[in-house]
Amino acid sequence: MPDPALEIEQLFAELSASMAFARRPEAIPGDLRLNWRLSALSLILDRARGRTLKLEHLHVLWWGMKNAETRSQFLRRLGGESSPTEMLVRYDPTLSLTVDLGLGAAVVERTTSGAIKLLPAGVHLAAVATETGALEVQRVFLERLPAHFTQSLLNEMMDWS
Amino acid sequence: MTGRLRIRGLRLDVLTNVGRAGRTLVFEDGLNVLRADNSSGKSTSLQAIVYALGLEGMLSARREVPLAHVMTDNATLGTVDAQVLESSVEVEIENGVGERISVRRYVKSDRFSASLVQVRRVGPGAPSSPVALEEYFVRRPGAAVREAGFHTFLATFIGWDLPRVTRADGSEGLLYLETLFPFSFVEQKHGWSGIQARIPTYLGIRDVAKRSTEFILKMDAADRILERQRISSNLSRLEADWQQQVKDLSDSARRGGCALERVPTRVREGLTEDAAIPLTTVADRWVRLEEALELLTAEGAALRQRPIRTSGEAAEEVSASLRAAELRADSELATLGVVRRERALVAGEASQLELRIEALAEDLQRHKDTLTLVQLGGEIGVSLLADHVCPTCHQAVADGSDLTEHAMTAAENIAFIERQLGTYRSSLSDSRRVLDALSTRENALAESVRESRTEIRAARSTLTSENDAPSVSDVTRLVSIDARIALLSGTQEELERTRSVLRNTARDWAAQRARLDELESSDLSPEDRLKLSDIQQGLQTQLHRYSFSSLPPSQVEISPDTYRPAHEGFDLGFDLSASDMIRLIWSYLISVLAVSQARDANHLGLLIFDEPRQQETAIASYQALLQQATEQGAAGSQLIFATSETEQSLLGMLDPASCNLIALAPGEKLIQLLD
Repeated sequence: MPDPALEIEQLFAELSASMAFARRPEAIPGDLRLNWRLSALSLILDRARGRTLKLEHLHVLWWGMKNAETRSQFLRRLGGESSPTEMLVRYDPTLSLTVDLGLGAAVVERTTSGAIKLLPAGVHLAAVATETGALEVQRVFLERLPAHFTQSLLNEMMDWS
Repeated sequence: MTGRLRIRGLRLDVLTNVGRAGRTLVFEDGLNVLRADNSSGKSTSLQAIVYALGLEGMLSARREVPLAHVMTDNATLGTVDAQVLESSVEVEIENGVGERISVRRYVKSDRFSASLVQVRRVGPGAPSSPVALEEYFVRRPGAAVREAGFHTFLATFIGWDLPRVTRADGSEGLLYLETLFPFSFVEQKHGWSGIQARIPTYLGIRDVAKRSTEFILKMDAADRILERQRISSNLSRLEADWQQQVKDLSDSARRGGCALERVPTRVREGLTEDAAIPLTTVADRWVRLEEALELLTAEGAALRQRPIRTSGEAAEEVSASLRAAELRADSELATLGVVRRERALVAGEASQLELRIEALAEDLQRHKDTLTLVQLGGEIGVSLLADHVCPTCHQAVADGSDLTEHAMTAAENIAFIERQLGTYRSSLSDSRRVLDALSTRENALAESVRESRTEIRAARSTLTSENDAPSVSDVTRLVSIDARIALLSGTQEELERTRSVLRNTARDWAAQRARLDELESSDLSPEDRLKLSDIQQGLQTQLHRYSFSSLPPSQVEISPDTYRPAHEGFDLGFDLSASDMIRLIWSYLISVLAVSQARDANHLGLLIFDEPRQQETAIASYQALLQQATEQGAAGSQLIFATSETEQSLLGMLDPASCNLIALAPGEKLIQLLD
């Protein structure tokens, strides 16, 4: 009895065309697109006091900006209308990578105290995103926060005690 | 008919470090010919008219003064090189009712901004003294619409009620003067390269060449287009009204316990007599509303006719119907339970779908934002965004590398999400339809259960009461029949009212639709066609006169679509010889002028040609043009030609008595020291 594996090998050897396999591209969430995530990061920092935020505060805002539900929860909490149990901040690991990419691309820098500060390239990125009307939902959300929100405000929001 | 605008005079004023220089030109009605050698300042003087009126936007989109160095920088006066310290142009114009104004605008000045235009009323009827100066601004946002804008003033002075036109972005705005003056002014540099070569398109007006021609010729087409837009929006409003009224109809029917058969969902279907027929149930049978009313009325009447039975008499029949009613109520309750569970299930599904759609829509927006942002990478020099290369390790960093190495491109991802959204949205609309049907069913069942229970209560009460007491069942039946009749009659009236509203809507819609069809058949009214055909005739006659030879002149027509000269359906352009193009421009602009003068139109009645003899046009053709212009001048127009033809040659072609010839000596410059 002929070996099937050998038969297949032989078949391939006789074919004039070569086989090629390509992976089909996969859909990804929009917030993983480099343009989007760096612009979103810039928009958040652009609204912060001194254009600087601690990484954990950045996480809170990143989470708050995520979808309609988190946006309204965040704003309710800010207005003192929610109980601490309601707001469940999820730390999004992709934000850390976004910050890393931002550091590499000189969109942000790490200050001596470890906070993340927006650099001129990032300021420009935020300005152009605003001009083109991109990330409008996110901008509207950020605009509803107090002008140049401070670290202490975010501390207060996270402080359940 | 006299023109709407006459140029009476022009003064160029230049203050130099060696003294005051300038020139004053006076223009008459009819043909004016300004003769001077090349580069002596002819074009400058004609452009000065455009500049004084703040119309340099028709020459170029650039925001610089369109005048020669002699007005802005330095001038050679005789043999002396002089520096320009201050300069201005002043033009005196007269409108169709004989009002005269002088308009002055500074070209170079430390004292006055170039955006400022000073207007002084002159001539008879003007305030004698002190001379009142009015100041307006030009070349700034709002100059065409604000009261202090010179173009608002100028349009009123000319007597133009400028139409609103559609801009490229879909908004509406006024037609700008810059798009209308090209019918009266052909400048030397670009004006002779094609028919209406210089209608400014940068102002963002949709179909600007057509809109301006329609205004100049006072065609009905513009109104017809506006009317068409209005009717289209009326039609969509009526469609929306119809939807709402159909919904009202269904709601009324539902409230009255009726279902509608064959509901016309679109207004174009209209409301025929057999559409939206209300049906309801009587004794478990679906019948038309009118029939139900008849049946119930008959049953009520029958019940009333026989004396109310006593409990004893009715007992046997009542116990039978009690059993039946109990069985029915049980089965209805069971079904109701099933329907309710099903509805809760579908409602849960629908809300899941809504959540999913909301999330997808937001994700879709993110991808779209990405596409918007894609162009920015290069702009800000972040290599990460432009090339997707890590700035630190110089390896490729793809979108979504946190999840997969093979992410879709943003465009693919958008298409993918849109397909998903499409599927979810149709699922959702399906769920909603099922929900509607289920809740109608649930209401009907609940109503049946209520009726059965009332019947059971009445039957029980009949069976437990004294034998000679009146049968509660009978009485209750009568009461419930009366209540049903009242409900159904009310519903019938309400439905009839809504039906009549619907019929009105359908009638309005049909009338508007018919008007739209009529308008859509052509934008041109009979009067418009007459004007275009007159222009065509004038054009052909003149082409013949000027020895146009690229085509037989009788084959040149005016396109009803572009209003421009065409041949066999194509606009005439590069297929003509260069000199025939010049002849075509002469003929077209003079024909438009002539037809506007002869028929009611908005043309200024003014035509300025800077060096009409281009491309070595044959002298015989040029002579024919000058004759044509003289005739047009005699017919009431004002024409101003600037030419470098020698005086002798001009005198050979022109009768000096029939035109105003302003001839500079050979070599003489227009700007001269005045002292």
